[in-house]
Amino acid sequence: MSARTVLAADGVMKRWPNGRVALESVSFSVDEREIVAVVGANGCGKSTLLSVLAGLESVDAGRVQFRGTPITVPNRAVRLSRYDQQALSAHRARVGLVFQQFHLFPHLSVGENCMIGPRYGLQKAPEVAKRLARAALERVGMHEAFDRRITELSRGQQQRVAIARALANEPEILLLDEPTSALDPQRTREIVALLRALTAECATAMVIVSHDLALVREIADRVVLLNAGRVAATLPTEQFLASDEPLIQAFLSQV
Amino acid sequence: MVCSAIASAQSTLDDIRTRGVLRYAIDPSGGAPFAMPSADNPDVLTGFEVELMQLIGAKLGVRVEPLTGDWLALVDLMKSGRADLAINGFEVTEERALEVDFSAPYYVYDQQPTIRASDRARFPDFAATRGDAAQARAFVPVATLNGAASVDVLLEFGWPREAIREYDDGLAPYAELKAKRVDLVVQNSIVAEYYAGGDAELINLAPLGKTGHYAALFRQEDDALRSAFDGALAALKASGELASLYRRWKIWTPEQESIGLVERSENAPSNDINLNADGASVARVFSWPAVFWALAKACVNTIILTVLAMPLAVMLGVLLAIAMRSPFRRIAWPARAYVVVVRGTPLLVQLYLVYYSLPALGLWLAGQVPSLSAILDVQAALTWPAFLVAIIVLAGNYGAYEAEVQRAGLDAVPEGQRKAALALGLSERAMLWKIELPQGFRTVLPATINDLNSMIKDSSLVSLIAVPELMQVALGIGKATFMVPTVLVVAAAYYLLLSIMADAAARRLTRAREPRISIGRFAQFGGGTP
Repeated sequence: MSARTVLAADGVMKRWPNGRVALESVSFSVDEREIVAVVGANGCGKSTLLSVLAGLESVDAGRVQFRGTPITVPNRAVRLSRYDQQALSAHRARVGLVFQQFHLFPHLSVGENCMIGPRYGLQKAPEVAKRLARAALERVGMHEAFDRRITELSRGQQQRVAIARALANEPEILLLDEPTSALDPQRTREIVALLRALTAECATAMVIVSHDLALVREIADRVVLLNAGRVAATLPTEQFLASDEPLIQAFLSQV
Repeated sequence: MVCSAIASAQSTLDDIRTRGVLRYAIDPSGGAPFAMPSADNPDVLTGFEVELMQLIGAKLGVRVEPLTGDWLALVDLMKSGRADLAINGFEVTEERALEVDFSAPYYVYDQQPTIRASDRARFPDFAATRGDAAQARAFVPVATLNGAASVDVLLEFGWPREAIREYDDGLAPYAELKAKRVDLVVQNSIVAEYYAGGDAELINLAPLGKTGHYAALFRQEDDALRSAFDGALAALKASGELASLYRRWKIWTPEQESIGLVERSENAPSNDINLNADGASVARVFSWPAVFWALAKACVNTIILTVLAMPLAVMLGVLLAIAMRSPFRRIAWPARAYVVVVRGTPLLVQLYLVYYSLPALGLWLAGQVPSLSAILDVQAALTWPAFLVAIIVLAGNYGAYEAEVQRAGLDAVPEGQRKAALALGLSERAMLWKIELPQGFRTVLPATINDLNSMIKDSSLVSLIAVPELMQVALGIGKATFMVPTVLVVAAAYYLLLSIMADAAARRLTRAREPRISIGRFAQFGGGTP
């Protein structure tokens, strides 16, 4: 792990309460400015991996480190002290997670959706939170919708607001779950351009879970292939797409 | 024991003299001619007992104040120390004497049978209503006042229990008689005179000669107060003032002389000797503007109660809902127990217990733990004002219902919303107050508005503990003017108006922050993770 490593998973294992294995000794890391694509068949553990990295799911073994600091998430066995709880919240605030289903807050306006992270996650003053929210919305081109209702927006606009909400915390790494699955080709191109610009301008690292090979080819530096909860391959994007390994070939032929 | 009783009795009379006010418990909705809202100003009580108390107060040199409550609760008003005595047509009986002390009697009543005028031929006298003695007795259905001495008299005459129908007030039996649901009413003569005496459809038969006495009720330890009352009453009887009062109310009968009433010519009005004159003419004047105004004023209490109690109930409900969802049993279980107990018991009982039993508990505690009463007056500390009790009990009761409502709201917040909040770095507490509660509250808003509507109507129960409100005032006016159904329709219209206004106000209040939630689109955001 180098000094440029933002987020690292080390031998992470996760079982569901029913005993089914979700993740089996998964190890990989993301460096500054790097875009890592996580691919794999449905149910291979991609979304679970994102939740674990974001500090939302506990692990049964192994650890997740953010900038060299291990993250502990409470579960039935672990109850956190107030101090650890605050450390966990701080970690979550520094990692931007964009859900596949967005999970925007329908009772709040677009601006309020983006303010709530800086205000209550980062504990910033209201004016500062508002400034951060505006800046984030400007970056995704949604600043004019600041006072609008979430329910008035199109799917593509909601995707942008969801990204802006994650960006408002000025995270060092952005985790995106299927960012283009709900969009038409035109909107997909816009989002790709947006993500590229983000990495270039803000040095933000990214982990993108996606089925979309075009998206992966377009922006990912590295591809991690998950198979039944295990890392089957980690390769630079071009090598991955050109690889003749049976597991990779099997995956590529399915998509 | 005896010493302490005398000491406390002294203090009650002393207290009254010190504060210059004698409080008596009385039920204005029970009906004329005892006590009722005055026709021209329904805020003021009138009635021969009200005037009697004013005369007593003048003799004792103190002001008298009526404390109004439901008739069944008057004894508890007096026992809990909120009133000094109770007076409202209480018949002197041995059972009651076990619990309370009676003053000297102030009125002699007889039992008065009443029939429909059209039944004159069928029932020439009271005996006829009991059927033919030679054959099997066929008792006609009879109506009377609940818990009155008339019931005992009827049983004595051989009426089977199932033929006796008891009503909560003196007017209803005559309405039933006119509606032909019963063929006979037997009530105390004074009530019969007032309600049936001036009615052409009804005929009062000869009284049964089963006389009894009305007397005021006192706590058993208040001997000094009772003696002072009896002294003033005896003076009023001897001076002819009481006889004059009874003449004016047209309730004078020669039997009154048996308890020491004296008629003095200078006091006696020259006309009005006829008992059967329309004794109620004063009260029967029905002034619509006065009634509308009185009911509107009674609405104000109902509104204040609801406006104060409902927000408290919602707040309590939210706190209970949060507690019930807590993973810690020490927090969750007491909250659940509270909800189960409060939802599972009638509001009426809760009102009664808090209002009447807490002061009694204080009295008992003071007796059990003398050291405690050295520090503070335990009974006074537990004797809360009626309005406060009404708000606390209404809020506490509805809080239990709101707890389940708000819990359902919190449960309905989609898991994705929680994940999103946590992912942004929100603490559990910030997530609760900023995400879960606002969304949950909006989801269950219709149920909360339902509770608000019920509370407006349930607030009528607080008249039991002497908080005057719409229902009590409406019944009081209705009975005094013989127009109960009409006045109740007016009261219902007021309730409807209040309910519609509350609905609009609640929606407006909650809309101020969040204009629209479309449930269909809400679901779109709430979908689970894939």
